[in-house]
Amino acid sequence: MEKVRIGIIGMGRMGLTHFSIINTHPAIEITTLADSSSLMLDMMKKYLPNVKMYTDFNELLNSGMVDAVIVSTPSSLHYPVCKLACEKGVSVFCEKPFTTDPSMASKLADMFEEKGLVNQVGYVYRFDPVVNTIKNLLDEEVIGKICHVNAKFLSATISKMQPEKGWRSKRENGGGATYEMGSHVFDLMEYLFGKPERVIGSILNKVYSETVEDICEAGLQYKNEVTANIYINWSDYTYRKPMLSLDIHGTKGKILADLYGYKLFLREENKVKGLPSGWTSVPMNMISDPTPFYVRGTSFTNQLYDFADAVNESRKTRGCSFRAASYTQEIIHTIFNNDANK
Amino acid sequence: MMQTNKSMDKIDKEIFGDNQFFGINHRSQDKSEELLKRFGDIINILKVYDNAFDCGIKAVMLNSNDRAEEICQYFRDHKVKYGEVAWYPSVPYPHKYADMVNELGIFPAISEVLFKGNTTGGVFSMIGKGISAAWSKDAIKMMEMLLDVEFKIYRGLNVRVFFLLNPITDLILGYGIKEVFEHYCEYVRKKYKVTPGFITLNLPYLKAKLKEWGIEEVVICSAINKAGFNMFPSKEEYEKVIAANDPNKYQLMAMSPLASGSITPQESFDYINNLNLQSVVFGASSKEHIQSSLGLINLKY
Repeated sequence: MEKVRIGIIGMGRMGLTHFSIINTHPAIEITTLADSSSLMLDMMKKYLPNVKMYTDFNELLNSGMVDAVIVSTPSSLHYPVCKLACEKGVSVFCEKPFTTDPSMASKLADMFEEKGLVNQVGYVYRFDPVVNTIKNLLDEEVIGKICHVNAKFLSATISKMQPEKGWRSKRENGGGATYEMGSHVFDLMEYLFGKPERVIGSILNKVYSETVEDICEAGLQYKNEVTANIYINWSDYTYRKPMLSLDIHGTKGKILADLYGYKLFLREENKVKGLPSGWTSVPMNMISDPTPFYVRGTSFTNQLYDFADAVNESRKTRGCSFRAASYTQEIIHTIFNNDANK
Repeated sequence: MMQTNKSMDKIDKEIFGDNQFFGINHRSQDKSEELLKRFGDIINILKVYDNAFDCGIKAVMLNSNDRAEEICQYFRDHKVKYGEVAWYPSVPYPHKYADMVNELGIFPAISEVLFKGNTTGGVFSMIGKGISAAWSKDAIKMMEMLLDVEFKIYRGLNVRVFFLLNPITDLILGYGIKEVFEHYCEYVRKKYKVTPGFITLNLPYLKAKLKEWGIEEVVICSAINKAGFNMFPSKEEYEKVIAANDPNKYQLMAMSPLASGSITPQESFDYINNLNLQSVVFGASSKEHIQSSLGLINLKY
């Protein structure tokens, strides 16, 4: 069988990781790389003699050497790169945040759907084993009708005053707590509960940054009167590792989940699923999570393998589509526009 | 590459690990924070080491994290008492690099590491190498320089194996570049006169690649436990590869032996004991736990 020919555009930290992961997939071949740094490319050239290197992504996409590309450039380049890829009939895995403009996001979704090309955004938590276990519990209505959700994402990413340099200080490059961390939460909420009807309110606050927000708080309202509070803070210096957590309150029970595992409370025993009443604790290492090769986390591998398999089998990905990512983009924009501190 | 007919040096069967000191707990953030608090004071770390040595531990694995320099300095200062202890360092400390790479980009991060906090002589020798590395854009020279910075932490200690930590091993493993692995092994053997080691979460893949590349006489350390936690692609694949391994070519070391969910330590170590393994690294923070773990370890090999 012919191998899927893949190019990687943007060899920063994510691009370097993606190379390592996808290079172990037996049905793909990395044919090309593009990065604006010729230093990086020159260094790699020596050890990867069969991979063609470009300093301009246009040349890579015009080379005719790729069936699919992984895009891990700064967010401001996502739109032109994805657009050209689509015109060339190339499937795309694009890093998050998808774009920093909702109209560009939905335009890309239209284009890729029309051409039937595989399109996926790197909202990696959709491949997290805990997330998928609680998604099953929710889909099977184990905790009844959902009433309220609290979602928090806390980290010590920015824990001192920020000089005004670096990509993190610019929103158009995907900087700020809302883009860097919040986008994951909003995508996760969409994955678990669907698209919200509206943003009830939002407020953005600064702790250490000058030009972007360090804290984002927002209320979301879903159909069936479900409401959600979202709290994102990347300046919480008490966290050594980023901590994403969800409290989901339903009519028959409650789920408290983080990336280490989850706790389920049921008001009554669930005989069909063999779940007792009261609290059940399930640590992450008790959840099956088959992964072919580990580099940075099982979810990173599983999302890229799924992309490669989707291209190979001409099917949709299990991951976040451009369409779904465009909804997340809309929500983020509404949050920025409604910011009570503006 | 060094290849001899004699069998490779045997490593210590029981090695005392360091995860507990740095708040690494795979199951609970609360437990992590509790450990971090307790071991914030180095005195409490040294006490645990003394307990471990009292229990008969003769070998220690230590990652080159923020605390390593301080810990190593103590053991250097008290060489008479601790001279017999065998060291199994693992490098680098991934958080240090990850944060810097995120903030500065890859090349500025590398120069930051290379040119910060070195002695004058060291700086000159590094600048010399650095200039030529930049000149030839040579990743391998850059790797050697980074290794020197990391290995310096363990100077003067009785080092037996230098391990490359899994985030790095597995990242470069994915690239499948033989030269990088070959040079790492050669450099460690020639310059530091110790056995090269790799920590990996992909033991079957790594072992197959090393074999394909003809790289032998290395130690491979990997999470091995009854629950199959952190064993990729699967526990079954691990068991096959471990059973077929020739310990004269590759010494295998199990880590995370207790990451087994709800089963008892006895069952966990029974699983390890019955595999064709040469060594196990385990952690504990009380004398009782160290003693009981040691009592349960009885590797067949």
